[in-house]
Amino acid sequence: MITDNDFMRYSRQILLPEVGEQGQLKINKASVVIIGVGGLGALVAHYLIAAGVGKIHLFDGDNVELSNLPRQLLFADEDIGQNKAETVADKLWTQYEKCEINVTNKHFDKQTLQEIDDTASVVIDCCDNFTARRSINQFCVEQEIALVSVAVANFNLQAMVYQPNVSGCYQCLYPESTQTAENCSTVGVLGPMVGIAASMQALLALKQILGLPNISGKLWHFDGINFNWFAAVLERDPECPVCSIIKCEEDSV
Amino acid sequence: MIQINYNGDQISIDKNSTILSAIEQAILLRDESISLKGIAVVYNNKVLPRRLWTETVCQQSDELQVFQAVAGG
Ligand SMILES: [Zn+2]
Repeated sequence: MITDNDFMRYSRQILLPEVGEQGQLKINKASVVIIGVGGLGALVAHYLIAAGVGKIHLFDGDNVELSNLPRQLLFADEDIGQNKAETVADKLWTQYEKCEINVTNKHFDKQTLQEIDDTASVVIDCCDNFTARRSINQFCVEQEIALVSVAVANFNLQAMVYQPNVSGCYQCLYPESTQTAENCSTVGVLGPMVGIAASMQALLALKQILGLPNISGKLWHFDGINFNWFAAVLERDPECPVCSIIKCEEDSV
Repeated sequence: MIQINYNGDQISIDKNSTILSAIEQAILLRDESISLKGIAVVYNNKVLPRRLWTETVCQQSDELQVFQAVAGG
């Protein structure tokens, strides 16, 4: 049951026929994992906690740097040098005491993945490199957890949702041989590009929690220079070393 | 030569070009500096897995969208 206070607090969400009281209860009971708590992750965490998500696990081993401040809006000068996940957890907990926020203040690796609660309803990939993104994808495919993966750099934004056994996975899109010329710390970006990406990612995560139709099976791309949006079909690559193996195992059972 | 649509523009490329060759020709024509290792390719509205870039042959009026793969957060 929703309390009177919560009914008022979330009334604009509950008013949506796609949400309603039942949907708000789903949001309140949801447990989500956010990997990377920089530009995308801090904003996504803020939106989801404000929307009433009951439990959030934040992963990040990085500390706040001066060059983060133009786009990582929760951080201020006095946070420089502090761990990002801990800082975001402190600030959001002060504002939204009801949410259970857990923190892993370590750099992401396979070991860190063991700490992910397997009851999580959705994993939200906000990290800054292909290697980590592929490991997170592999974990989600193996554990059959939905993955919302959004990335942004310069004026490019890419968004996809992996739903177990429905769609192609992140590795189908970006196999091992894909490399970027630069890493995140040397690529330019404007704050609002990150804001658009994070807002979309939070929306995709809420849709996943609510069980609404999602964008799995599509790759969305936004070009912030020409303001072009397009969706491409993202099919499962039958030779994908990550999701095709899972499929074969299922077929043989 | 055949005409294809490349990132919204009509361009002419050699007949029987593979996707990889079409992209290389387009990059030359447009004088772009992009690394083939860091791109994603959408062929007639479908993401084309990298391993098929050399196996798929472009046809007249095909649509190719090529954009930088990004991983930033
Ligand atoms: Zn796959």
